Amino acid sequence: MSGAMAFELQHVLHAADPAARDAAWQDLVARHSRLLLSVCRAYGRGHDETMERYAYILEKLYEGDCRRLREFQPDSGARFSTWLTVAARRLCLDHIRILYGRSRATLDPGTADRHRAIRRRLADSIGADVDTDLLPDDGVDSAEGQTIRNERDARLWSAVAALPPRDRLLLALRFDDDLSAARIADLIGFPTAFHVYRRLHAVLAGLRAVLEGQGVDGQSG
Amino acid sequence: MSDSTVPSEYHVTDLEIATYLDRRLPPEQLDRVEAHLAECPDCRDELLAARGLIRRVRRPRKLAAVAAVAATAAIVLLLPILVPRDAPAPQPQLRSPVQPPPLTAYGPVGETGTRVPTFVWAAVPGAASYRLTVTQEGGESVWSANGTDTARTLPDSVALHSGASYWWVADALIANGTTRSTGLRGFRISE
Repeated sequence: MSGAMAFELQHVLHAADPAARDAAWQDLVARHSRLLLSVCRAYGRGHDETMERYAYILEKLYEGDCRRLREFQPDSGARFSTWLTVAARRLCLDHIRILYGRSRATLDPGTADRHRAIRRRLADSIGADVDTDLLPDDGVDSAEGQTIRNERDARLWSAVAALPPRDRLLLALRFDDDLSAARIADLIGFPTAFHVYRRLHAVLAGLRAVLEGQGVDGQSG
Repeated sequence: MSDSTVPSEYHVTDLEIATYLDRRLPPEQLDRVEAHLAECPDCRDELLAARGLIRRVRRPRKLAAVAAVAATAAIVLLLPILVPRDAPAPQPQLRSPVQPPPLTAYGPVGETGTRVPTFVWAAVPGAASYRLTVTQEGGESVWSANGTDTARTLPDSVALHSGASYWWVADALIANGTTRSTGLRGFRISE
């Protein structure tokens, strides 16, 4: 957060009198209206609803003696504009939920199936370089094959759980969310997509080594 | 990332998401946030969406003029809550510093037979948007709406009561920052 921004926000939150606070508030709104409108427009539905959301956001930021604005902590290191974008997005979602209700269940059966399928990809990617041809065919759902896969998966999840948080997040973004390396790099701060690939390769190789050390390989499952 | 799809109780806050995206989280907090993100698809969705919005917001735009108008609109829209609480009770009317000519109201006025009235007022040249506010006789808000139309019908979700009296007011926000208002108009739903 810049010094100017801190000064401006402090004016709103610690104004000596209502008139001074109103002036500071109007200044704050004027400076950030483009940001707030961009967030509001991101949710579509035309001009009217954009303006409705915009008014709702301002009302919520102002209400309760600017309770929400006070959640921003200048010493957190975050830029005020970044925080305001995140907070405005949440308020937009609140507004949409008020108008239309919650749009989806947290995890519907279809999503659960998808997650299982994606986790399957991770498990397969670990085993793939070992010897995928020797793995039981998913289409042949023998009891023996299923048992082998379950055992391998259990050891895999255990190995994943022992990874540093950043590596687990990397795997989640790649295999749960199916994000490209470029998006992952942008999201969690790798310099380039190449660095993501390189780290992924290292993590998968490490997992593979752990599994092989436990006697789990392509031949055993 | 976990075999379980059930996240822990804790979820990342807006401030943590912002600080994470600005790469300013201290190491111990970074570990905690990333550990949670790895487990919680909902918080990852939040992070992804926030990142996308920030990119969008920081993209240069040619419509700065629209933002200036919107900022003025926001100030006008929020005038009622900017008035100090110990001030005299405000009327549900939006005012600009210079008194412009009034906005012409067409109706409803007086007694009306329908419980879903349509509010109609005259168009104003240069108006960026209009705000309609409907209140009970005592001033409690019943419904409000923003838009560019000069006629709005009460939605089905809002119930007006037979025999009750109400007020409505439409305000036009002009692109130059001024406003024009119909002033309070009363109407009553027939028994």
